[in-house]
Amino acid sequence: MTFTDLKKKHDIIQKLLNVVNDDELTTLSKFMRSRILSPESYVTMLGETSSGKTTLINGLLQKKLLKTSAAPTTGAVVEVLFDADISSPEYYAVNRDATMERLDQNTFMSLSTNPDDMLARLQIAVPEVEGLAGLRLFDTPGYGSIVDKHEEVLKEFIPNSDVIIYVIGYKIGIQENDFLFMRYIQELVHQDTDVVVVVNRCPAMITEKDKRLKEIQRYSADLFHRNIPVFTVAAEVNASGETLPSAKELWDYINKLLRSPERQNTLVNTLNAYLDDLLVQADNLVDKREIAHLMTQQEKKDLRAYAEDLRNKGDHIIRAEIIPTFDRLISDVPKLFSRAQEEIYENIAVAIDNEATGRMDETIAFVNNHSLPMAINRETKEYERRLMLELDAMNERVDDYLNEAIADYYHEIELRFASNAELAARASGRKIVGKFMENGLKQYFAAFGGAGGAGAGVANAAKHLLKKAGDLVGKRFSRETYNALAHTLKKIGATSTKAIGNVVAVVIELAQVIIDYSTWKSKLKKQVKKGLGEWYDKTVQTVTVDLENLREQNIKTLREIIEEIASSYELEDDEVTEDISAWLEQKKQTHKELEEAGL
Amino acid sequence: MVDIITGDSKLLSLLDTYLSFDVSNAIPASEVIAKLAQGIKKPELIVPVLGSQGMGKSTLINAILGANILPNDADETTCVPVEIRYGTREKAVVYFQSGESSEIELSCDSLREFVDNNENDGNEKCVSHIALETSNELLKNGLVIVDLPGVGSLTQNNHETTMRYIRQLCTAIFVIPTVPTIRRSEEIFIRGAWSSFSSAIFVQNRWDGETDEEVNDSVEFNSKVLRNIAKNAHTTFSGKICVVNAYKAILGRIHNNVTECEESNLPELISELENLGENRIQTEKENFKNKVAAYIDTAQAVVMQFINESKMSEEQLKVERIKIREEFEAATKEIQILVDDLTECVHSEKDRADIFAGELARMAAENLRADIRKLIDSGVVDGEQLTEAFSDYQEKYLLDAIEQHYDFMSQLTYELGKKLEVLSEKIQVERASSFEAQKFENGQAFKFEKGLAVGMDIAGVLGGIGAFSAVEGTIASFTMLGSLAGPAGMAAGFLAGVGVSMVVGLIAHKTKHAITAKRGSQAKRAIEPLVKEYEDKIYTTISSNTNSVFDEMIDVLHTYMDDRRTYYESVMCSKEQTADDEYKCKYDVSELNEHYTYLESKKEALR
Repeated sequence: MTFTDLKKKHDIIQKLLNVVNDDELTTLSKFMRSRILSPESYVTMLGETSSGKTTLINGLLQKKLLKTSAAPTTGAVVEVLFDADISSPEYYAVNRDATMERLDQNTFMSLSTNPDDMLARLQIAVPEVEGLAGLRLFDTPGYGSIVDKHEEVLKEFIPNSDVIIYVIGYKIGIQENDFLFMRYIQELVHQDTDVVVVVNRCPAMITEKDKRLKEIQRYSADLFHRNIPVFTVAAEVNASGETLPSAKELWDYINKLLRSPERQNTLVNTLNAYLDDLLVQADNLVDKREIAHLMTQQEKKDLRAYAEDLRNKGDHIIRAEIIPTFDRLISDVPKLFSRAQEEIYENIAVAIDNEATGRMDETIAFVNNHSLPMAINRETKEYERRLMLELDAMNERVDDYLNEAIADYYHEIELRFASNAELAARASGRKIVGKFMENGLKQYFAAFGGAGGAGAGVANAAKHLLKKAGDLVGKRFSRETYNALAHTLKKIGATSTKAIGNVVAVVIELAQVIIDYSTWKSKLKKQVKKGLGEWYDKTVQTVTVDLENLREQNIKTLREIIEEIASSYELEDDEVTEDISAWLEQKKQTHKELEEAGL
Repeated sequence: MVDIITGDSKLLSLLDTYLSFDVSNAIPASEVIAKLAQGIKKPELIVPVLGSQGMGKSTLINAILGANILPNDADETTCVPVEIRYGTREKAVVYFQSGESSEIELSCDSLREFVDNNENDGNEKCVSHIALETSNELLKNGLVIVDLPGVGSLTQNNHETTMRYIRQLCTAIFVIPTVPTIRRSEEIFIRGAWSSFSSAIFVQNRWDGETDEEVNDSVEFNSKVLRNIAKNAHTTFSGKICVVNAYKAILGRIHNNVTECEESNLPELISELENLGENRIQTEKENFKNKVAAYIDTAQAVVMQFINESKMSEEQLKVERIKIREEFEAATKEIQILVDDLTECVHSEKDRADIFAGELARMAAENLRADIRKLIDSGVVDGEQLTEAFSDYQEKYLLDAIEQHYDFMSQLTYELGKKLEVLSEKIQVERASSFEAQKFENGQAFKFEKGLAVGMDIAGVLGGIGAFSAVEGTIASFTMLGSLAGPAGMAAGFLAGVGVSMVVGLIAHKTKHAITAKRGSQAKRAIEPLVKEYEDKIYTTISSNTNSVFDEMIDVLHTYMDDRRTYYESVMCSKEQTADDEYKCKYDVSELNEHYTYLESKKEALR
């Protein structure tokens, strides 16, 4: 299948949609059309502050369109959109409420350094650079800022990227944060996302034998568990300051990756699956109307009652299981982390006490770089495990209850239609509707953020079905809930890991003052306690918020599932047209055309 | 009932006679029956006690026995298995791997020399196991309690012996913690070991400082963990965790303080153990009955066939022969398709598992290397500390690898299980419709069960059989299925027990020598070969285990098909002979009828 085939297929399906004339499906169809006509690819730039991500982008554009300076400059996520239809740059703000506004250059520049609370990200549309049409390039702030303020980078951008460019400044080399960040990215990216490392501002005559370069290569390969191409970009300086690095080799390589046949194939296949989904939804609508047409008023009334019953059961399980379970989990958070905190402290205190008094420096370094991070990681992992288990158990209970409720619902319908062979036959065929919902077009569209073209979210069609979270965990949770859970778990991990940084900072303070050999042990223990206290505060706070979000996500997903099923027979009265023969005719015609075209 | 059968010489001789016509029964029925009967009379019930270090295993065992028999110092770790069984004379015998043995004094001090890791580092004394005998009432019925080395203290020098216990498919006691609750490493261990046992008793050892609320909370959470493990390991969890305060229990028992003893909740565990003994005898009896019934079935089938044949003309016999042949060929064709499919599937899964094992090992090694290099870069170059960190990292990433491997194997077992079910159904259908198939399958059932009872020698009885048929329900249900599932479970258990400690232990030891007193870049270089070794070790441990599981599966399938062919060929051959003979003279119909009725009456009596 090719893009031309997709277009043809869409044309045929559109004929049915024209007749059906449903607002939602029309919107979805338009969206699909634009995706097929101008396929997009996503590249995300990541790396510590001041590693020169923005400079590389300016170099690609060969124009200093984005602000750079010696101090950390990028505070917001900036999207660069390559648009063939414009001739000069246009500046936008994408807000957290999914609205967009056009900005002037100055506002854009100042927001990029100091974003306000409303801002989700900035967008700059630039005229197409040769061969990069449809590319959406994301410039991001450093690790700390991403974990604290830009969850969307972790949740959407990284998993949705076709290529990740990780930038490291040569002068600084791989630091603690790079180490943590790279490992974290590795957990988020899907197997078929390419990762490229760029060592920026290298000395002009750098060779492959360079020690620092080799070290970066080795760390990259170990942390990402694959052979990572490492590009060097030389610092180009002239009398007036830094010039823009063209980094031709890098961008050519990225271009080649984006155009690879595999990537194109995946995209075509996914879009094709979405088209199939679109057709199924249109078919279902026709079916639904046909059924409605065949039903008596009394039958409709009864069906509404069954649906209401199902909704009530959904509400019941939310009140009886989901809310209490989350309440308990949330109230357990302080207790569990305080126990972990105590245990870590005690173990480390014993270890410190057992050290020889003369080994002050070694012990401080060791506690700082190994004992503390290791123990905190371990406890965090224990907590994640506990959470997973509790939620799994909850989910099993919810599933059992809901499956029964849904089975009852279908059973009632079958009984009701028992005397009407035509309706009975259709009723059993309709059970499949629910299963399309999980991976379908609607979800993709929802992630994309709906109206306004380049909306609030990022939705890479080719990646959407392949989110890493989905293949990590089992099958019981619906996909969206699982994504949410997996994300929460990783976020807890990341927050905690980042909090380790703070703990370490506390301990480092100690190493910098000269301490007396007779008191260092008690001072070190005190610092460890203080650091752990900070870790505790920060972690309990974020975990609580995350759990609250997860609870809402669970409730929302459950309501959606119930609604999808409950509404499968319901039609507003005005939706029922007297004449359905035109629809039935077009449905038949569309399927026939598709078959003839071999699509 | 057992005596009646073993004393019924007519029955035994009838079984021997008629089953001798059945090529699938190589060992005379009377011999197998005698052996089984012996097993019921003198059943040794092995109960291994497992748990991580420091969970109070030895204290619990002492409490059960009501005496301080095993050394249980706070920092003690058991490094060799200790069997405790009934004996009128108190004694302790140390068995060495060389096969030699020597009696030692039965005291904590003399035991410590062999079981304590501090005095027998990594089991350098090469002890296979220690057998204690004591005149304890609880053990009088054949209960044998085995103190197994904790998860952290298995070494290459004691894993063989440990595996022997695990392979016996017996009931195990898992000692689990209260605060903190079951941790990830323990969960992984339990997950691996549990499927190797036919059933498990979970004991939560309660310490004096723990409040009721803490205990209740942890029981609730531990139950969830266990239920989840059971789900993943395709086994069932009774939902019961027995909370015992072992320390209080032993004080109570030594001082004969009944209240203290009651409070410790030890009696609950003891009655559980007594039940186990009782159930064990029941299971053995049930198994005995099923086996004898299966023998009688087969013998009756043979008699019935003789009776039928005696009524047939030569022409009819020929037709009958052709019919059997055609049915066999048709069924074989269908079964062969399924077996081929399954074999192919196993082959490709084997390749996949191998690649996956390589990936897991590589990722673990890469993570290990990155972590240790980072630590060195951060300025830690002290040999002792690097060694400690190195073994922390090793354990962490090894657990990751094993966990993922388990997930992989669980999924695989599930998928292969579904395919096996189809095969099993097909075989059942054939079995229900044909005498010959029934005879053949009965024989197969015996055969594979014997194959499974590895390590029977220690048990001294037909160990695994009883347990296994209890798991599978009846003898008729397809043991083939079971024997395929069996090794998979064993391999998993093997990994859990041995993997962690062997890999980590081995390398940590070497690390010490390699990186002590080295600095910076030197340390990095010194670590490189160790990382490589770590990777190799993980890869070979995982892949050699999975390979042997897959090979065994393929082997079972092939042997089954071969046996099937051989069986039918010999049946055909004997039928042709019958036809050539003056066949009717051979049969005394009234005697055959009388035998049939006699067998029938015995079968009735068994019910």
